Amino acid sequence: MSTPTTRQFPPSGAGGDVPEFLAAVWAQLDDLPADEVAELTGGLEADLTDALADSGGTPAQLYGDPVEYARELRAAAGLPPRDAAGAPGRSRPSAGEQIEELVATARERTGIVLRGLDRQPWWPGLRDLLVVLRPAWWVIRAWVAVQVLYLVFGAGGGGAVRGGLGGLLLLLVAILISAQLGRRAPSPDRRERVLVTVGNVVAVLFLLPVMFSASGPYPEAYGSPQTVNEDYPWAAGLNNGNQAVTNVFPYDAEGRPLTGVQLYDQDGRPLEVAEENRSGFDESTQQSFDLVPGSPEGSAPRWNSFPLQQRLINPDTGQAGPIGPVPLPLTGVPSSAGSATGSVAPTVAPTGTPTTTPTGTPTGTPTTTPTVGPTTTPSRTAVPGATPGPVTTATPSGSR
Amino acid sequence: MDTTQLLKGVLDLAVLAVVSEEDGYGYEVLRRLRAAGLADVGDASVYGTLRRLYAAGALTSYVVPSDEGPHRKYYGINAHGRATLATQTKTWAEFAGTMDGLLAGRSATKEIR
Repeated sequence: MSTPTTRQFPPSGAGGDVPEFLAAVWAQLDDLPADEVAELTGGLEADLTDALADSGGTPAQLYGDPVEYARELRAAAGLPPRDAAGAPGRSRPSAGEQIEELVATARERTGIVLRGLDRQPWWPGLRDLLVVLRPAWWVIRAWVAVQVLYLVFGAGGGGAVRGGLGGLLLLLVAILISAQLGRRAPSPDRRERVLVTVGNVVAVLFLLPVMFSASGPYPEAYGSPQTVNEDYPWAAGLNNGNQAVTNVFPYDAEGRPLTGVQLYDQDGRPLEVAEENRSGFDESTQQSFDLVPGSPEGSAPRWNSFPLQQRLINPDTGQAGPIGPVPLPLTGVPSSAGSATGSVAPTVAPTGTPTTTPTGTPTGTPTTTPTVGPTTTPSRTAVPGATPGPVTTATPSGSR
Repeated sequence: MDTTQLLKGVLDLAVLAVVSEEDGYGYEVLRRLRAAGLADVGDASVYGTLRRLYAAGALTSYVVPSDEGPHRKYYGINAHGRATLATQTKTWAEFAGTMDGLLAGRSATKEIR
């Protein structure tokens, strides 16, 4: 099937119907102003259709070459011949001409579609509604244009204007221009009409991306990932939802708290508390503390060995106290202050009667046979502590 | 002799004459011209002429929606068109008379306007 832009119509009846022939004729008129073309070809479809109905042929059989047909039409209508720049079979048309041709083709196709819609019973109502909604589109495209401006000129220039009175004024001016463009009759200048059409297409294409980028929480900085990371500190280290995890309390199947459990993710990377979360201030006890990794003596600190222990800071002297366990959390209930013993197992462990956490410092009791650590680690990972040697205790606190 | 060359000069007059009888859309005007004997008249020439006469203010135009096909664009004559028709009819009559005389060899020296 030949397309209008090829300007070559099939010489005989194969697939040559009226819209196709018309499209080829249209292509020969695209150097004319739109109103002139509309005037020239208004009713032409009916004329061709009736002529074909009478003769029973195809447009190609009846009229031959659409290019010749268009030439005759122009000559009879007293219009100048299609200028040399637009004549067929010549060197490549310029980009501007190609765009104009695209627009003309699109307009012609739209006309055919609209005429088809005219026969639908639901169309008139919808069309009237759409016509009423045109001003809304004028506002939307103005807004899109302003957003695109912000994007083009980046956060530096846009950020200062965006939020304030300047941004509002800019938007208002854009809306005024857009509404004026939409309200008045199509410009006689063909170039301007093409520009408006291109602008509308761009506005439609940018509508969704602009909506998403403009609804972000930090409008003056979108598009810069490093800024996003500053604003979302929980992006690094262990997190639960959007909240930083500062410690992990493992329990065994019996509900007994475990210690010295090393955690790894699916790729064998250690699950570690983020660096900025390794010290803090306990609201309930009014105590500053530093978290301490469970590490065997002489080895690198293991921030993935849970539960982490803590070292309380003396508020008066600022000196660090001895290392001790972090109190087990109770769901919803703050634990008793800083005590190493007497913590209660969480309610999620139904079989666990209140158990005591290990007393004394785990770092001081190396064992030679790790029981839990190695068997629960990913196979692909070389786990520190899997080799016999001093490791932190990895046994349930409740002895068997 | 190629009648298309002759037609070019008188197509305005022919179209005005046909439309002055009764309003018609493009293909209808074409059909009436052919029925009247102008078999060689081209589709695009007639349609283009209708548009040009309309643009010159000699014809009126209105669109009649069709139930099953595309809209038809009807043309009718107006006062300006009737005046043009009258003038051109007179011109044609004199021209034709001159040609007749010339061809008959009787008034070969009569001035052609």
